[in-house]
Amino acid sequence: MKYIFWFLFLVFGLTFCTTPKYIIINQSGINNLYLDSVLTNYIPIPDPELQKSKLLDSSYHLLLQKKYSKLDKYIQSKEYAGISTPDLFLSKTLLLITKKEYPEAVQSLMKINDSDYSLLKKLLTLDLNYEISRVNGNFDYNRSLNDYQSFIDSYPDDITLKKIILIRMRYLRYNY
Amino acid sequence: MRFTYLGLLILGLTSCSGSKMLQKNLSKFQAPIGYLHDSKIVDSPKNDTIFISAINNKGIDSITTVTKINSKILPFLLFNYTETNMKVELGQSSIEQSYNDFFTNSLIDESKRSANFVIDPRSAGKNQYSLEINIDTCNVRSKYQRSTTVLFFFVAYSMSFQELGFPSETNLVVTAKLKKEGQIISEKSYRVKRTQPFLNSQSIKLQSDFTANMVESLSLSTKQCIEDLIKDLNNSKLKSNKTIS
Repeated sequence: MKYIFWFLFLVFGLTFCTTPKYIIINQSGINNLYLDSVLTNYIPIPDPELQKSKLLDSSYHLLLQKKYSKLDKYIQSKEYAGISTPDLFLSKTLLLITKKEYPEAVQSLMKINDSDYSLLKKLLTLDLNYEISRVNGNFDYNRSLNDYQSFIDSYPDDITLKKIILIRMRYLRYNY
Repeated sequence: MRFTYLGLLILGLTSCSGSKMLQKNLSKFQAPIGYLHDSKIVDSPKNDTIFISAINNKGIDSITTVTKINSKILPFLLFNYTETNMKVELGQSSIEQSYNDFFTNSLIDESKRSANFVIDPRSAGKNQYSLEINIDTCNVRSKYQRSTTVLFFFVAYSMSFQELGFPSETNLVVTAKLKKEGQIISEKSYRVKRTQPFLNSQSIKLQSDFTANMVESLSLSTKQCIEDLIKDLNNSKLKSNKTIS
């Protein structure tokens, strides 16, 4: 019995210790990233959006702490029941991406209709296209490269976005 | 004494087959070489066309090869340690796309962004600019290490096996000749030396990540070389146009 307990402890311990595929990050976090040593995807949440929305800020902190079930309960709590705001849909999308439920994440993402989130929405659309193509077994590196290229070319002055996309492409290269 | 010879023979055979085995394992992996262009897009009119007359690639080997560098053995009574270091040289077989095609396409894509001329892959006619590119050196090297540690505890023993990849080093030399009517207008060699830090996502993906690291090193070195070439061609073309006028 004792051995079974330790075995299960080890299995669950390893499951929760694994690094998630996407890490939510704020502006200062992106600035501290050293491009050559990163092999993880980051989803940048702009600082003004975090300051503006209490829900998004709480979601951001819960995702950082990997408290996914707590966030799930928080989003479905009475406080947010029956409302449909962009920050609620964004929080749901981020949670679904973390849980690797990509088709559901796309549905939630499509409900975000706010110009403040337009850049993030475009980025997450490309990321989800990539994830779904991998699941369906029709991933094409060059097609993804072209999609991300067009995306950064439409925001030529956004250095942070460029950094995030360069990291994305490295991730794609190493997970070909 | 007989056992010593036998031990040395086994070690010799193991280290030799180690490099062959690694070469066989690495041949299973291919990595994409395309990169993201991040140069500024120039909106100036592109009046001139440069045709690519030839891309001669003498630099890259056809297959990725592994050769043994050295071995270390520490045969103590309670502790044994063996280490084999191998040199890996990148070949076309580990790259998903043909390197020549990749070079040509990247040059065309970069010219669309930052050049004040158009690059055309077709051969040039009379009175037209042509570009001859020679890839003189295209070496991507890295080190791969295998080590084994054995600890003896009277009747029991513990054995651990470790594999490590090291940063890959690229040495790329490309010579570009810009010609018009058979006359060389400018000629320059571009030398890029780059060390790409080795990143390993998971221990089970070590050999796949090792291949990706070498290809990434070549990809980013080529990017730098092409950007430098386009900058120089922009200047070279301007000068030649001034001379003509």
